[in-house]
Parts: sequence; structure tokens; C-alpha cells
Amino acid sequence: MHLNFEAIISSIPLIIGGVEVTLKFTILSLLCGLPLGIGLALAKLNRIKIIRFIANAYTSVFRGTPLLVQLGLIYYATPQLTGYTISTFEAGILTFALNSAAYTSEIIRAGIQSVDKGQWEAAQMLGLSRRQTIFGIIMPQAIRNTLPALVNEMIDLLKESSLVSTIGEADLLRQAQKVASEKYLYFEPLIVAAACYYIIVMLIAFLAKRLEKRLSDA
Amino acid sequence: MLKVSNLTLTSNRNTILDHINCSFKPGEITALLGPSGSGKTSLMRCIARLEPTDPGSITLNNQPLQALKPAEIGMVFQQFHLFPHLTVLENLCYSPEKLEVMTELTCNPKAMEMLRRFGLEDKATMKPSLLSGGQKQRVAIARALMMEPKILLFDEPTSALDPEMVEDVARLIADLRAPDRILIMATHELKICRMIADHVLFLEQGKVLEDLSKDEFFSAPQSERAKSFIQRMTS
Repeated sequence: MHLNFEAIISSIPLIIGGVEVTLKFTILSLLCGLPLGIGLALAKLNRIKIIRFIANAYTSVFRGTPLLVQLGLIYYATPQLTGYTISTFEAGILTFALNSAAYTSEIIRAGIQSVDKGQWEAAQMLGLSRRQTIFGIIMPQAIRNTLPALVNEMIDLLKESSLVSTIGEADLLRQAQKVASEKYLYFEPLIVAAACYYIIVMLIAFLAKRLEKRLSDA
Repeated sequence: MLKVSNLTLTSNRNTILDHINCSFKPGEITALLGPSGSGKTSLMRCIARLEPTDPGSITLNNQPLQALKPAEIGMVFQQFHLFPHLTVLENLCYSPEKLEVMTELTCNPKAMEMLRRFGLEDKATMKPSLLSGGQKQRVAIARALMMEPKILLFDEPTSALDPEMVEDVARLIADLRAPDRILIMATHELKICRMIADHVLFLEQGKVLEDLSKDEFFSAPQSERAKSFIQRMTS
């Protein structure tokens, strides 16, 4: 086996430079996707049937089609249908946020339903409104109960963000591919990219464990 | 006076409460007594507005319960249902502050005073998970009292606790007696009834079989079912 890492040493900063783009996509998608996911979860538990139906249909579509197809549709169909020239950055964030919201909504819905019914009743007896109960009493417990699943979703999002390389964003994978085609070396740059992904995932998992421990100790 | 008239509650075609008529006086402790499934908790949940009260009606001083402010009826649940993510102090102050009945500045001293009354002042910053069953119950009572309820309900106040604590709980509830407060407890524990109840409603299969003062109930129950219940529970 012959590995030639020396040939790509000078390009490693370029690959690592892609980490910033990858993280930017992950964090922004999560920040947009999480509130949407919470909204969808609440819609799924709404008393009104049509609202539940719309939220469930949304989840069904985004879970039932590949993310790459969704990314392509949003990136190529938006200008065609609306006349708006969507940037790769906007298309990426929008797709990942919409997709992530579908998965997050299922996690949070299950989290809300896992909170003891007695908590709702106790809040009602204390005169709290449904809104005050959801956001002050139920949601903090639901988020705590679902933290491991939400972290998994974040890790998935981080890895799936590599799909933005297909529409030309200079993320971690794209940078590795660039180096590969410049140096005619494919294995080594991809190993560096894989190592970067792995380190970030491990870091997220570590921080999540600490947060989980802090919440359970609190 | 809290008055329950012709209250019927059904669930999946099962009759849980069957044309209940009864009343509760301020300043008194009324025990809802009966075996499991007799409807005592359901009756209390109707008074708490956690179950529908239609058909039938429940009124307080001739006003429908719906006319009461949300927290004017307090309930201490069997499993307490403290908010686990909040500290003891936050459990007490969350609702008064959210409902803007009090501000943080006025609520905290009142809550601390309440905790002192129940011997819990050193637990103010703790999360409920670190408390014993008895302490959780006292926090739950303190939390309900923060809103100064006119009606205070206790669902099986002794069942989640060590049997040795029955007397402590009885004293605690008896101390809450106030001239303008209606206290109701659902229980199947005769000991706590004998100790603190003024009035007893004995329920069986969703019907009120006995509606007597405590002394009358224990000395001369009218129904055979109540007689056998007392006999079985005391033997």
C-alpha cells in the first residue's frame, strides 16, 4: 500500500478551510430547522384535524424523498418557478432546515408525548394557559428527554451537509475533491476530510454528553 | 357552599359517576371515602374542572365553577406532579408570576414564608427529584396554597407515602382548615378520616351511599356496604 500524504500537506489547510463552511451549514440549518420542527411537532398534536394532517403530510414528503433530490429541486426549481435566483448557500440552508424540521418534529412530538400527563393537569390547576404550559413546563422536559435524539439529528445534519458540494459550495468534501483532482490523489484528501468529520462528530457527542449530565444533575 | 347537583360522568359507555348530589361546607374537611373505582377521584377531578361537569352542575355560592379564576381551585395530586426542571422555589412562584398575580419581588418572600411554614426553607433551591415523598407533598401543598385557593383538593394524600407518615399528613391537612376554605380529600384510608374529617361521603360504583358527619358515619353507617367497608378496613 502506497500512501502519499506528503504530496497533499500543503493543501491540508485548504481542506480544513472547508470545515467552516460545513459548520456554517450545519449550525444555520439547525437554528432554522429546530423552531420549525417545534412548530410542526405542536401542529401534529393540535386538536384541529386539518392542521395535524398538513404537519404529517409535510413530514411524510420530506422523509419519503432523498435529501439530494430535495436539494436539487429547491436549487433548480426555485428560479424556474419563481424567477428568483437562489444562491447555493440559500438553497443549502433552506433544504437542510426544511428536511431537518421534518425529523426534529417527530423527535419533539415523541418527547412532548413522553411527558407525564400529570404535568399538564398540574399546570392547568395552577391556572397556566396552554401556551404557558407548553413553553414553560412541557417543552423543557420534552427537550431534555429527547436530547440524545436531537444530537443524533445534528450529527446527521453535519454529515448530510456534504451534499452541498454537489451544487458547488466549498465545504469540507468539496475542498477535498478539489485537492484530489489537482494532485491526482483521491484517497489521501478524502481521508483528511473523513478525519475532520469524525473529529467534529466526536466533539459534538462529547459536548452533548456533558450537557446531558449537567441537565440530569441539575 | 360548594354544591354538586345531578352530576353524571361517563367514559366509553361506562358510568363513572351516577347522578351525584352533595355539598361541601367552607371550614370543613370532607373525606370522599370508598373502594378503588368507586368514583371518588373522578368526583374530585370534576370539581377540579379536569373532567366535564355536564350533565349536571357544580356551583360555588350559586356561581358556576367556570366563573372562578383558574387557580381558585387547588389540587394536590397523588403523585404530586411537581415540575422537575424547576427548583422548589420556582415551583411555587412559576404560576403566580406567569399569571401576573405577583412579581418576583413579592412572590419570593411569600414562597419562602410558605416553605418555612412547612419546614422546607433549606430546600428552596433544590430540584424536586432530591426530595423525599413527604417533602414533595409539602411542596405540592405549598404550591397550591400560593394561589390562595377557595377549594383545596387532595387526591389520596397518604397512598404515595410511608404508612408511618399518615399522622403527619393528617396534621398537615388539618392545619390548612380555614373559615372560607373548602377542603376535600379522596381516600380509602380510614385512619386519616377518623383523625381529621368533619364530614364523610361514602361512594360506591359512582353513587353516594352515605353523606354523614364523621361521627355518624363511623358510629352508625346506614348502608350495608359502608358497614362492611369499615369492618374490612379496620380488621
